[in-house]
Amino acid sequence: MPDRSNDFELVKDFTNGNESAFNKIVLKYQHKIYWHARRMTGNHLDADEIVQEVLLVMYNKLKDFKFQSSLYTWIYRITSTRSLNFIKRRKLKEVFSFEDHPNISVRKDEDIIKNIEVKEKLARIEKYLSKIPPKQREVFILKNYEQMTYEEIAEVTGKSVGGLKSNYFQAMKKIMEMVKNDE
Amino acid sequence: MNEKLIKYFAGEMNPSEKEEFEETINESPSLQEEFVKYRNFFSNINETKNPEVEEDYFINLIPEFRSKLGQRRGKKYHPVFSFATAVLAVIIIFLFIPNNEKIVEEGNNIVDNYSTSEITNFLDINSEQPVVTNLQVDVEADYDSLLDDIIFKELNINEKNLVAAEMIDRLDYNTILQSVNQEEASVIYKELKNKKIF
Repeated sequence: MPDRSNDFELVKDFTNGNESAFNKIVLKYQHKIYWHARRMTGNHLDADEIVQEVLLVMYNKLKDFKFQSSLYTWIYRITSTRSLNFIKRRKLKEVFSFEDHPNISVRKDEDIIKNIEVKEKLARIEKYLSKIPPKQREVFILKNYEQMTYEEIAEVTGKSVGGLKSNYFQAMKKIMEMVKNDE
Repeated sequence: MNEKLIKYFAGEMNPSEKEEFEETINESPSLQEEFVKYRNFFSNINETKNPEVEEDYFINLIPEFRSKLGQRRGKKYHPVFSFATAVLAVIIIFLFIPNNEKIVEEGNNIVDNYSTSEITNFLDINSEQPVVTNLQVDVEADYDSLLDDIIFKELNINEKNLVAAEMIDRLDYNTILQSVNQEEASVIYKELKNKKIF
């Protein structure tokens, strides 16, 4: 988890017109944004598109940010929302396209991961994640990758803790079923 | 699916429950096999949490964003320009669209200077198209035969297949002409022309 101690100062500097403060915020959180978008979408190109969208939203909305939540939670909230919207748009495109999964093979080829073994492991995980509903995927990712508590996830997603627990249990059940049956 | 396995990997067991369940796993080879699969999967998740990546991507992220931001600013909406464009469009429309009322009025003034017979004669001599209104009143038979001729010609009807053409004779042209507008007539004409019935 990134050090959140100087977030307030950075936001204040940016609000006062210091553009480099925004760059510092991006440098601090860019990996988190990318990897959350990447795990949600399952490929690099889609994640890259979401990252650019998130940065734009941050740039435009940061001036109105009142620290009612932490900057970290706020950024995750934007990334999660953008990722879910992106997945919805992609799904619609797939439904109205005559191809089964347009450009999916092209998209898999472009990646920033260096190690082939890690790439393969990640591809296997992404395959499982892509088969569960996006909202269950979101909870699974925030819980297993970001080690967030249900209360923190509730802040990001705006959902009740009870609902999140149910989503997480369903996600675990489906993924473990796939793992069990996968040779 | 053993729900205790889900609880175990979801971290929702207290220490004593966990210990008890681990003993159960040790006693069951099939449960053990399943357990190993899940353990491997979750250890894969841990191994892929922070993978080594091409850092160029992250180095270029801010410059790329700044460049896109610059492009968006370049395309910024300017209300003054939009208003000016709208005003210009309205002026062009008023300048170039002909004033129909004025044309009709001028036409009526010209027609008023001539008698009905003079106008009919003029149209008969100068118009390449038959004057339908005149035909309907005075020479309906000729009008029918004229239309027949046109249709027979378009459909390639000759004396040999005149029997079939008699069917067309029975059509009520006036009713058709009254009920069909100009666009529909064009469509019917094109359809007939392309049909090549004979």
